[in-house]
Amino acid sequence: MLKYFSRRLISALLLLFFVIFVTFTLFMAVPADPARLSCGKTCSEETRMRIRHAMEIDLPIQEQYLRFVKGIFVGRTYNKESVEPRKCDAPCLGFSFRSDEDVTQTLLRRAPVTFSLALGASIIWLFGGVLLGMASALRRGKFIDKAVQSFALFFSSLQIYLIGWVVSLYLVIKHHILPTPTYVSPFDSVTAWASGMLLPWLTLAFISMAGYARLTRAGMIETLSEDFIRTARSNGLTKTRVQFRHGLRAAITPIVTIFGLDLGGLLGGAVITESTFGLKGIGTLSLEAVYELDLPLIIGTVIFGAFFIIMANLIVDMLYAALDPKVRISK
Amino acid sequence: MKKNRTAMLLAMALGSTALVVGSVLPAANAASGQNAKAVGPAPKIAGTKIGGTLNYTGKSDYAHLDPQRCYSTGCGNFGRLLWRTLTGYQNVNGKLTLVGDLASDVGVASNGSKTWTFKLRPNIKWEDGTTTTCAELEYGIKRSFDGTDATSPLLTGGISYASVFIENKNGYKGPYETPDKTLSGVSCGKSGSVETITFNLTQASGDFNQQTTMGAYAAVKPSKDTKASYDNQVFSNGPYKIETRVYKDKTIVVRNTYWDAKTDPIRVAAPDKIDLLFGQDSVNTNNLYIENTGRAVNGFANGPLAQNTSLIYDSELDALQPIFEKRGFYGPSIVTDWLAINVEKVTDINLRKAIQCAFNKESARATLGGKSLGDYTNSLTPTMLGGYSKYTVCTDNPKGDVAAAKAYMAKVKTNKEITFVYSNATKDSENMALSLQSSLTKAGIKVKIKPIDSTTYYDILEQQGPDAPDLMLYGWAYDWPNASTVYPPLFDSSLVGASLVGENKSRVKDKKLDAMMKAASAESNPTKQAALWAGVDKYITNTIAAVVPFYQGKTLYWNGSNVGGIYFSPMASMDWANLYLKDPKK
Amino acid sequence: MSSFLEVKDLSVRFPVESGVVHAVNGISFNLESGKSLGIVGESGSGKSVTSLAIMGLLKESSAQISGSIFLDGQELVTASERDMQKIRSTKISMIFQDSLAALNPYFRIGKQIAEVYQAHNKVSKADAKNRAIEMLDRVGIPNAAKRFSDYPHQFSGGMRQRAMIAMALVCNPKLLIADEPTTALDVTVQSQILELLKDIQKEFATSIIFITHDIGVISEFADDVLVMYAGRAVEKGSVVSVLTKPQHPYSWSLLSSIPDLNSHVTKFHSISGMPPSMLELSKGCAFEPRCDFKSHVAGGRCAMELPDLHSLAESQTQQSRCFLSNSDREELLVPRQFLDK
Repeated sequence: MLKYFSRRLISALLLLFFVIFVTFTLFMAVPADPARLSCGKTCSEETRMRIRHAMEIDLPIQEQYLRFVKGIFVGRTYNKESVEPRKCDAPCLGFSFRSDEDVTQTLLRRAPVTFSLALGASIIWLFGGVLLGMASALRRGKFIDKAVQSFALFFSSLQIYLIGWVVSLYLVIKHHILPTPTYVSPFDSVTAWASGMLLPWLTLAFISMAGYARLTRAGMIETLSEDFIRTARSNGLTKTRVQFRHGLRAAITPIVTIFGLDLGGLLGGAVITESTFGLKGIGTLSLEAVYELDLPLIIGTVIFGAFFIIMANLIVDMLYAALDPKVRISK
Repeated sequence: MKKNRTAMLLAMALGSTALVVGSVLPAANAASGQNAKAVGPAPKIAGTKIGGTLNYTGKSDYAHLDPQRCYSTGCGNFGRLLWRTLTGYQNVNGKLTLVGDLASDVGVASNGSKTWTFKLRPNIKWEDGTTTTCAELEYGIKRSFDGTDATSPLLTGGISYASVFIENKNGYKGPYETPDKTLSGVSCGKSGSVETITFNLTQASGDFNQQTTMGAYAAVKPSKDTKASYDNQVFSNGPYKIETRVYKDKTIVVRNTYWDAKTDPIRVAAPDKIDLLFGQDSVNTNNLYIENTGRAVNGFANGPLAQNTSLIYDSELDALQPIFEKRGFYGPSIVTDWLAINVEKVTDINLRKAIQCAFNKESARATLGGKSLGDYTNSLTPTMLGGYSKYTVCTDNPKGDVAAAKAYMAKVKTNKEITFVYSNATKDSENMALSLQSSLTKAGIKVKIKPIDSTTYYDILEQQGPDAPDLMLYGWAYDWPNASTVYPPLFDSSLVGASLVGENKSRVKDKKLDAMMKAASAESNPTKQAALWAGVDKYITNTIAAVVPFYQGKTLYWNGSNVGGIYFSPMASMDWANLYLKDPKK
Repeated sequence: MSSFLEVKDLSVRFPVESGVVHAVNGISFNLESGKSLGIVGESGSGKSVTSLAIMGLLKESSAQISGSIFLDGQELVTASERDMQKIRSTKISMIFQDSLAALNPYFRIGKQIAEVYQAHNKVSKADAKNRAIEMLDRVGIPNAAKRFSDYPHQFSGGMRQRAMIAMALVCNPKLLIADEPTTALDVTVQSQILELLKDIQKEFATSIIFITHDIGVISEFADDVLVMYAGRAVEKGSVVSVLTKPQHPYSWSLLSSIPDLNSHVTKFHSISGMPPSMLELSKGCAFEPRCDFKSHVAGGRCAMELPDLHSLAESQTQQSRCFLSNSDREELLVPRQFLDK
């Protein structure tokens, strides 16, 4: 098991570096010049070249990439030969072309917002979705099943960028049912944190919950027709025990693996949810970075997102092995 | 300055706009007044109450609050709450008067307007209680020189006026590169007990004292100069100082307790605290203000126009009109747009005149959003500037005049095909291109439309060579309310190079025009200057037909029911100087 | 004296899209304490459904059940699901054919057994574990303490079936229903399991219902036999009498289909035709279309009229559902002599 894990870990890291390299290359392929944006009015050719030099984007791409990777491990100094060399501590992801802020600092500042959104929403949709799916499967064909299925169909067809505005308008602005979405650190005030995130959590959770309800329902229906469920019943176990301990346990594996992947992606930044609710997380950061051709910030957010997605994949693989005894124990 | 994507990114989204109370249009030359003896406190509007917290909600943050890096009017108008410039504009009821800000007068020109001397006010305090000195003002101005000729430019983004207009005999390259050198064009002195500052310029400038309203001419305390980080850590000598600033997140400013209203003829500074929140979704903000609830009540925000990302279509405009009238401002902006004709490639003046006549402004405007895009204009200068005059360019009919166009076409020797380029960023641009093509074709003009990738669009516009565009849509917003920041940056022949043309998209190299612009720039009498600029405008449109004027933009700001003091300001964007809360306790 | 298990006129119907499936039609039988009954029939004969009905596992399905089932005086058809939960595993228990599918692959075997014990007895986890190990040992699994922690897929087929038996018996039920428990096993293992069941029966006086399609296995194991066809009992009686003197053509056909290793028959007997669709209840004898002897009954009576289940003489307990005359039966239904084995 350990060998398997370390092999997967190494390939995950290699993948991460590859992703960084591809991002670099793709960015270089864009014909526009980021120096121009930083430049200002009547940007002379000379000034533009100076700025390119300061950003170190006048170097060949391999050199840029190597310096960048080196910076991650040991830190980096920009423009060593100039009057004001800029030091950047490891892990150095550079300085934003736009704000000159240390990219690592920017990511650390914004990450808690994204994490809060991801964790809160995902817990709500996991529990909500699984319970609804189970209720649906156990009362198959009855009213609650139909209700849950309609709910699932309706919400999964919604898009955040529409529903976000609608709920903001009716629940926050017009009728003051929920507080204005805003991020407050949970270390400052847990209640303010939770109430500020409540609307984004619920909106994101309701849309995702639908898929999990359907998945759970399908999984449960399949599981409940298995022989071992009949055995458990014939042994006189109570219905709750049969359904939850035996039924859900068997159906949970695909749900958990998909959850891991969804959460991994969300930790990289939920662009649309964040921008709809004005949350300053990694998602909005990456959007702005792309729009402004801010390479260090783009790479920073890509690494951030890629890291979580790759790690989520890794964990999900491990989890799958852990959850399924047939995979875990090699004969 | 450029009204284009670059400008947008430099926080033009925060507005390069003029405001109007109700539907009163300002008279032309609204910014023609000067008061050499202005003192504080700034005149208060009736109903102004002191106190409370004002707020602002927007999508984009100011890229730079560092005065020497502040380019857009957005950062300028907010920035002026934190830094005072050599001169400034006092805004009373929409009428601007040039007054001294750090200066106590509006400067005295000599040597054919190549030398300017200003007396400085003695008691302007920094947020730590120390007094602002001439040396600190000089230091600030010197920071403008960083990056134009240095090995590693640190302070990017600012205007380059200072480094262009101020004499630099010693090769000064900014206080970081050349701390031991002096900037020859600036010197501090004394006149009795007050400090003075004298400028020696590279060229005659009749409105130099208007240039000194820009951020480049703000003081910076050397010990507080955090260079590239100064954007977020501005040390204040204005009425407010920074309490919190998290870039692209929020900014909170509170009173600078050392600021003395008696030294400040410009800023009323009624609220105790101002809280700005960025990164907010525009649709939510609009809804908030339509409902006038929550944050909106004590605040203001860009309306859907000034954000430059979504225009209101005519039907929505009509529905929102009653709300604008109650809690918003909908009026002309300082932006003008026109079709630039490349005179180097479209050499036949009859063809150019035919284009002027054939272009159907109405259908083109409809593709880009309709009435809310802007009002038709015949001039490159917005209506509130000296230099604007109403006259006819081929026809007053917004649909154009096909017959007149055909008449010109009959005189055209070679009917070459014209390429109109447009950015492929939105579907609207494509529709506009098709509309243009259709209207010009009706007159017999051969038009090809060519989409350009939005990331390289502005680069392509200024490139020379066989692929240089023949016809393009371009726009501009002035830097201070004088047409000297419109025509010379756009039409000076020196801009047209072998490979690049800078802002001179029409590639105009006309000695007579150069001379006319030089004369207007040097003229210090505002009325005379205005007439000269009007002449320049007519020359470009009707004499050499280098452009087809199209529209002057519109602007919209929301304000909450508890906010007052917003006035039309030809200085563009939100004029923070007079804002107050009607009930500070709310 | 009433029997330990009395099934009276049990019928089970399943409504389906195309109509109603008559799975079980008026089955009646008794089983004494400590005895074993073999139920024989083809797939679709209704034998498994009968056992599910006894277990009460059809209660919350769409099945319509009529008739009655008395277990030790308690009526089961009208009992609630909660009542049934109490008696499952404690009074009646069931083991299944596919032991791999019938055990939860996600839990260790020992835990599954302990879980059943704990569900019906207020004991600690440790006690339940000990009981489970004890049962595993009792059913002949070597190294029971270690195997407690193994997963179902880590057992061989035979061992796994033993484990399932252990699970079924952990609460000492009085009736065990074994639904084709040896069908999936090879012959040697098969006989081991049968031996085990016999041991259990002897030691605990458990009644066993053994369901199979293999009439040969019945001969090894059961006291009485019930032959089912198309949801009805067509013959019942002691194993000895039914297997030596079958009274119903179907039983005879089943017996005749078994190859006799000692004879030199080159051609095997098989029952022609297919089992009937259960969507329709036949008016007459359900076996009639496939019966070799229907011509011996006058006037096509077999197809028109359903024979009663009756014995041939007052003294006999063996019963069959057929119109053939006694003499015809004597002559025609001569089975193989394989009971000597």
